[in-house]
Amino acid sequence: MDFALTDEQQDLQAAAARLLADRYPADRVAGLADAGAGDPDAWPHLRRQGWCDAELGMVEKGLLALEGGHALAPTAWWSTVGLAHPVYRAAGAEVPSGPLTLAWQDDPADGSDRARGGCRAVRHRDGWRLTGVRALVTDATAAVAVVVAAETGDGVALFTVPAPADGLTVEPQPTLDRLRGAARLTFADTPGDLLVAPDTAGRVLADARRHGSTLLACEAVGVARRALELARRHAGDRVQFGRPIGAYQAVAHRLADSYVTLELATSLALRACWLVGAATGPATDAPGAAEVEQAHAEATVAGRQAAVRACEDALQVTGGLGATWEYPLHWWYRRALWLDCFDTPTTTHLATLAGHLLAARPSPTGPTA
Amino acid sequence: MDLRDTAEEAAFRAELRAWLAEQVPRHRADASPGDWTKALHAAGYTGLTWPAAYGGRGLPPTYQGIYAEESALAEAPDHVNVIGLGMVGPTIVSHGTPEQQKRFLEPILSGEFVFCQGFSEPDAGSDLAAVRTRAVATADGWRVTGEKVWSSYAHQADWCLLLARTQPGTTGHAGLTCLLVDMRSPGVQVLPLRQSTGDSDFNQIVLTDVQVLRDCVLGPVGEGWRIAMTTLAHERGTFGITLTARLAVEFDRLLRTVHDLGLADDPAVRAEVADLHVQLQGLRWTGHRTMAALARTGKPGPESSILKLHWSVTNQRLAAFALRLLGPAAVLDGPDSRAAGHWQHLRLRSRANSIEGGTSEILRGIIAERVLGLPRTR
Repeated sequence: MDFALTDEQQDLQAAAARLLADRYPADRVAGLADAGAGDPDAWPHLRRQGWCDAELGMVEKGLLALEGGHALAPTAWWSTVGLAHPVYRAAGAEVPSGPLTLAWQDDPADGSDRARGGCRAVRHRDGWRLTGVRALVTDATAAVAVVVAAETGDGVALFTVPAPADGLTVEPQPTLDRLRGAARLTFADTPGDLLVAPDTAGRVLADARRHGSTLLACEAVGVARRALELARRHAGDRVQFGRPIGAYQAVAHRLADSYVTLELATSLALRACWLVGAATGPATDAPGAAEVEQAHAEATVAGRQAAVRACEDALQVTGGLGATWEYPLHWWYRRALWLDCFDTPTTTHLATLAGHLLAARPSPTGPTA
Repeated sequence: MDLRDTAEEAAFRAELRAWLAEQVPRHRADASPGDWTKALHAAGYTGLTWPAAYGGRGLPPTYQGIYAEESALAEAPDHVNVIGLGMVGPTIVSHGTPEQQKRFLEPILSGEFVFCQGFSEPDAGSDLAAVRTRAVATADGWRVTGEKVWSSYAHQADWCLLLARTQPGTTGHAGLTCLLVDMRSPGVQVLPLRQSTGDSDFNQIVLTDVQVLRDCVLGPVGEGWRIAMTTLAHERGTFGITLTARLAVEFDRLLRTVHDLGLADDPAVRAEVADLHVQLQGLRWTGHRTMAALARTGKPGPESSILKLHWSVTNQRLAAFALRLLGPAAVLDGPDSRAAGHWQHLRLRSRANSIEGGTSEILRGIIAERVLGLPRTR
């Protein structure tokens, strides 16, 4: 076993970190967030550095996601590569070269009224047309095409809809994390091309969501790392009672515990990436579905814990400064809160794990049961 | 990066696992505590990472990690010479004279010499540099007087690696020396320390005018602090893996208790079981990351500093949770209780986890200062 990054992986991560540090210093991130906008010019830079390459391995993508969280890079990379690319690739379709996203969630405003919510696709002589609503769609305003899950009558299928398009309304909604906004997409007889038919669409959609959220576990690690860095710097600089506050155990030990949570999450996020990558690889001893599902749940739970905790510890350590709008920490905290609740809830991940762990009574190996 | 065993590692693991499955039950009721070490030696499982020139197998640290993991998972007997093999031996390899290497290494490997460690004192716990045991120079060596506490295996040990103050009037790191003390020397007295569990896993060593010959000084006189730190660094190598594997054994036992009490469908129990599992997995894979760094660079990475700290937190949380599951029956102990008092015992014992081998406060201080680069808190 060799659970260490290769030299190539380290180089890739360092180059990504340099690009992002260059383009997105904290004040620029704060400025873009204030305006509620992403970086409109990000795409060529990311493409040039290979962020969208088809041959990127899962661990490599995880490292990019980690650096993206660290910089809070205001780009649509995660929605594109994390969510949309796996669908186009599974469909064997050509992958559009611009920013993309995936729309599969119902509008929470519709509550349990499934008749009102959702999105339907109807086949006409000249192709498919979509009608209905998809909500909480990430990075939709930047997307050149949207992958849409829609009910066909034979089950849910996946379609691609170019943006902008006739009959497609993209309506951004105010969000806690302004750098990963949500949009409500309304379809009114909108033409779309079938990507994945109902027989496999359920699996492809689940795989894409798992692919995306494994990367989010890495992004969470990056968010935690940045929050800890901000807190560390402040604890070394800020002097009270004649000493830097980091020289007080109450402060130092809080940050040490934050570091513990960060390292646990780092290990589980990288492991989940490796397993997701290995599960789709050619090896005969590829990990099984249950192992991948559990690793994904473990990484997500640990990543969320680390990101929220590191931000909250940093908010405490940065004191009054951290409570201001000007100090940028709250933008990372907002991302941590987004990560903590986006898609599958933590309670569901824990239930998944408990299901595996408590399915049967383990047989004793030792002397006492 | 590859999270699977290599073919060689897998073969080593399979062979070891089969050997443990056969040997562990046979050695459960060993009369002599050294028997297990001797069995390990006969099968070639001692000195895995020691250089071949010193009788070891010269394997990469990954194999020591596999050994530590599999032994703990198999609940192998306590290894009476764990200090000799894991700590003192490697220190003699790097700091001993050729004569000392010849005299001590082979007997440590075979289990003939069992070692204990004499570092902590009543007034030198977390502040180890406050050691007061003093060694006075004599014509042919040193005469040692003092008291050592929390010494595992001292009642079974043949030798002790002792930290003593050889330069009178010094304080702190200066003026300390490491001595190899024959436990059968006149003036050595070993008294058991009884813990809050009722067990006696540790001892007090009282030394009164004990003669130590010059050839039993390990490393240069006055540089005992540096030598002792080498010894403790060896403890931190694969120890995290052992602790995590032991925690995995307790976790499986917890799952059995949950089933036996009919609580497997309780949502609160399921949530806590799942979260404990996440912590355990985090420890397990961080341990593997540490091993990879050790194999590549010769030293464990910064992430290794969290293992013992978070293990103690998690083991305490697991023990508290398990005992709570028993409800009012938790008041019973011994043979009348579920699992023969196992959870009652673990609940008491686990409180020392955040003290032994570096208190959590010391470990957080180390992380803050050496990993995070914060100013000294003292």
